Amino acid sequence: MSRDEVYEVLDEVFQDVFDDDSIMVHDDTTADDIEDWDSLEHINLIVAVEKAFKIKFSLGETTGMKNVGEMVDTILKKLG
Amino acid sequence: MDSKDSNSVKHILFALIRTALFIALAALIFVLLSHVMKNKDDEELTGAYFDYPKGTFDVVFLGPSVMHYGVYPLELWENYGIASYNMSSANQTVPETYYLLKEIIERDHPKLIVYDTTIFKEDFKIQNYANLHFVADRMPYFSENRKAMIEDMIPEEDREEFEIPMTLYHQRWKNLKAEDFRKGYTEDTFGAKIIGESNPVELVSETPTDPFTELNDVPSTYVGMIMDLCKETGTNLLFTTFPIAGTSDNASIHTEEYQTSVRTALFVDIIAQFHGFTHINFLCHPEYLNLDTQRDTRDGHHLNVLGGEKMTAFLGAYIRNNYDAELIPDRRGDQSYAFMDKALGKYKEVKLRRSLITCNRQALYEEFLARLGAGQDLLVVKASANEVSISRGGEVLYAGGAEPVTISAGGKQFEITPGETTTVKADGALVSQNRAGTQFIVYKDGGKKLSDSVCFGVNESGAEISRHMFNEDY
Amino acid sequence: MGLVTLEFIEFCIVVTAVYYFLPGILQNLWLLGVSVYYILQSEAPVRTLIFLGGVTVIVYLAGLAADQSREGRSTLKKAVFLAALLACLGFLLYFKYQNFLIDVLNLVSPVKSAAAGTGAAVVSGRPHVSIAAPLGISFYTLQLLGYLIDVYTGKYQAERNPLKIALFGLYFPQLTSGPINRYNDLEPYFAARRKFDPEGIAAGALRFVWGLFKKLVISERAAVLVNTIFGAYEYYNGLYILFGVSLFAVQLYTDFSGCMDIVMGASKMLGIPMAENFDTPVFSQSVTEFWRRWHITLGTWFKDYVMYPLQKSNLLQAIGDKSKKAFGKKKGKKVPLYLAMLILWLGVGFWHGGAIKYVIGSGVLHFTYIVIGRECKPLFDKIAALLHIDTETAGFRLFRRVRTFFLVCSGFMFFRADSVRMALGMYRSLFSWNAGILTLSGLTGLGLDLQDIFVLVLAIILLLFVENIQQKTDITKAIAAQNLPARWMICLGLVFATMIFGMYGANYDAASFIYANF
Repeated sequence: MSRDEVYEVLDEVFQDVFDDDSIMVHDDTTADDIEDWDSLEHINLIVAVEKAFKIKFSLGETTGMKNVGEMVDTILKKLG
Repeated sequence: MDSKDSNSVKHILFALIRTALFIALAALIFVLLSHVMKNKDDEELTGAYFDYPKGTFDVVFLGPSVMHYGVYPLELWENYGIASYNMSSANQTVPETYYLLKEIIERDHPKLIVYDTTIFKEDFKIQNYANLHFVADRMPYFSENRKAMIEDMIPEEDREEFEIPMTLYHQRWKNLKAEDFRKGYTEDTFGAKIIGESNPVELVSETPTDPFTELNDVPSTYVGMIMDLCKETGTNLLFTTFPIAGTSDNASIHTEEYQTSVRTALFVDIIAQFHGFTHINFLCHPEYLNLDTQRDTRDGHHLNVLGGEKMTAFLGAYIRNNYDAELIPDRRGDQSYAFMDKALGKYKEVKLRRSLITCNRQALYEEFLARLGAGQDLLVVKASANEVSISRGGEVLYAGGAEPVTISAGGKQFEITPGETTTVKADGALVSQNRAGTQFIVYKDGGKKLSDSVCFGVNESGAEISRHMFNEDY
Repeated sequence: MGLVTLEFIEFCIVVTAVYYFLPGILQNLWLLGVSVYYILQSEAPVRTLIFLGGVTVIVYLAGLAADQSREGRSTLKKAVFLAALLACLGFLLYFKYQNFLIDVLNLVSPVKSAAAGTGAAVVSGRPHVSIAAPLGISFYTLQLLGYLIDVYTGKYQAERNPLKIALFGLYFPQLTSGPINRYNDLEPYFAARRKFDPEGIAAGALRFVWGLFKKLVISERAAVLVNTIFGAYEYYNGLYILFGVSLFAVQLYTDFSGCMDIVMGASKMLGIPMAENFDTPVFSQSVTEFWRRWHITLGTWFKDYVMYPLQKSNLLQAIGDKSKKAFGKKKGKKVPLYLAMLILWLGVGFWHGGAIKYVIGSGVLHFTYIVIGRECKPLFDKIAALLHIDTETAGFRLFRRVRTFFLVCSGFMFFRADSVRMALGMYRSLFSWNAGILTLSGLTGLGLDLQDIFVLVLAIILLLFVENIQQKTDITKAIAAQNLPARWMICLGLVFATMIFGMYGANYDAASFIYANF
């Protein structure tokens, strides 16, 4: 998968989890940029991303990501 | 060495110098603050003794509060030319005296120590920490003897308040007075505590028939050490046992205490003789002092100003008659002792004021005003429901009856209104107000500073009462 | 060795002074050595050393064995991990929660014993035991387990260097009350020699003194009043209770954050920054925000190592799926979330102590407030719109802060009271009328005279002033940017204010210095 393709899927996931069809994410998007993305919603997002890409994040990866860009890096690494 | 390294070395060096300066400044402030916070002038105790040049004083008085109340060094100076200092304090136990004495002897080597034995009948090393502070706080901080005393008397976990007085005295921030910020002691009586309170006592009449009682362990050990110290250093030691009269209200308790005191004093007679020291046993020989038991003491134990004058006079004469003039010279006229003449003037003012503000009897009060106040420019306002008088320096400026009067005196405008409630105002401010009795308002320096304001009256049972407007700390 | 003692100050000075003269590995060895010395000065020195050392060794070895980055059977790694986890938690349970476990056991299987002398069988409980807990066991257990979990879940590789793990476990500033650090935060500092940085040392020292000020001038002073009120709450009812619990909030905050300032300052002097535990919590506008600003490292530990694994667990995912089907996506999402949160808050409450009052006061109550806050937000927004209330004004912010303060205090009532029963009693007492605290004699009759109260008020005002600056900017930098005279005045002022107004030292009683007979 290419980076852009990852982002296509990711946008849908974000829109679904946060119930907002206008959400578009980029490399430097962080939790501050999206209204409902707090530590309580974080896991819902992570699980949804895992389901969408059929991958599993480790606990360390879950808590270690600083922005969406890092998330995409990790996704790409896991996709091989 | 490239410029980056030398910058960082310079940087570190400057940082260290700045830190050192900061620490020095902090230490200086700490020392000054410690001095301010320290409990200083309570009880007319002063560490000023150690500020004088070594060997200044020929005679030093030591012991518990009876000595503290009973001997006035500046009167020994005035009348006998004896240079002395009173280093006694409340509940000064024998071990405390020992260490203090050691410090005094090592530093000054005075010729004569006069030591009262009234505390010998107790068996504790230390009455309480507060009393130990009276001694420890007056000794130089770095003195070996002070350190030894603290280690001897206090368990390790309690020493902090002595090793770092600030840990205790920082709490005084609430009680700080202007005097705390001044250097030195402004009302130096050379260690004497002077009071004007007078209460009649009943002399306990049982004559001592029992034999002596030996000293308990603690006083015995330390009295031995004191005697050895004096012998080794060739210091003359004079024991005294101050007179204790009975008090009519605790007769039974007092009788037992009295008997123990007497038996202990008799034992001191023996050990003094055995070791070649003299003991003046006032307790068993009331004829030495001939105290007026109705006037001369505050509570039997403690002499007031009248008793103190007698004791001081007795000791002065005794020293002159029994010790060589070369040993304890008459230092009047000696230029290096001019400071004592200077202190004498201030002392008389302090003596008067202290006697007045603690005085509880009108007749005595007026006696103090006349005698102790002679030669001082006192402005005295006396007011009661039926009469008013104002005098200055002993001369009557105004004498009147029950009519209100407004009069200028000593630079102040007085408004006096006798009546059911007699009031006295000075420059518009109320200085005295009472419903019955006789009021006195005393100013020193002809009217410049208020010394005392008191009212004497009589209560329902006919006993004389007094009410001072200012408390003793004023 | 208490943190607020001359002994500790001398200890820190000596440790720091020698520290910067030591090259390379000697610096770490020195740090380890003095940490062991520090442990040996604690109340149960040998026990503390054994168990702290033990947990550190277990975690070190288990970390190496369970390291995901190296070869090995995953079942073995899982077994090692679980064994180590259980062992460490077991120690914690034994030392801190033994009486709670005894209570549970008594409830579950009561013991009958004969009452002395009567011969009749009586149901009584197994008695409580008194075991001195090793210093800081609640903190170091979490901290070291955090490392183990990180390694097992692959966040980073296991540390091979035993000295660095030993330091992570025994480093003395964090021993008494945390903060709960993360290994990846501290590791770079243990790995390199810390260079002498005079500005850092000065900043650390100033922070240390500020901590002493908070503890000695504010916390100890407030404690006098709090103890009086909590000690006789039926007498000191009505407004007294409100006053008491509010003052307790002040006491607890200045005590805990003061201790933090002391240890953070000490650690900064050694060139090792630790994680912050407080971020001006008084300015929190909601209970949720409060827990991002109060005891931060505890909150993040529970979030990362309890909440997230719970939420991600298959069980909770399954519950989530089922409830989404039953209640719809939006509502269904909440069930697993709130369930996980409840477990989290029960854990946090329980961590504070093995008693119901902690579970309520530091746990369930906060859970309730947070859930209500979330659920009612749309309602509150509607109300504000209806009443034309502008929620962005300074006034409204203040309202939120005051509201949050009292919500937090409601939990503190349980925290400070001896038991749930006493807390409830105090709540009952609160609603009876007594405005005595508003009178001069009422205020000064609680154990502090007017001058002390005055100092307390001034100190609290100073605290608020400083915290206000801290919430906007880095106050350390702000002070460092001042000129030398100002910096020195701040430092000296703080030092001597603490020295004079601190509540410490032998009990000075002015009366005892007044003439005593003889």
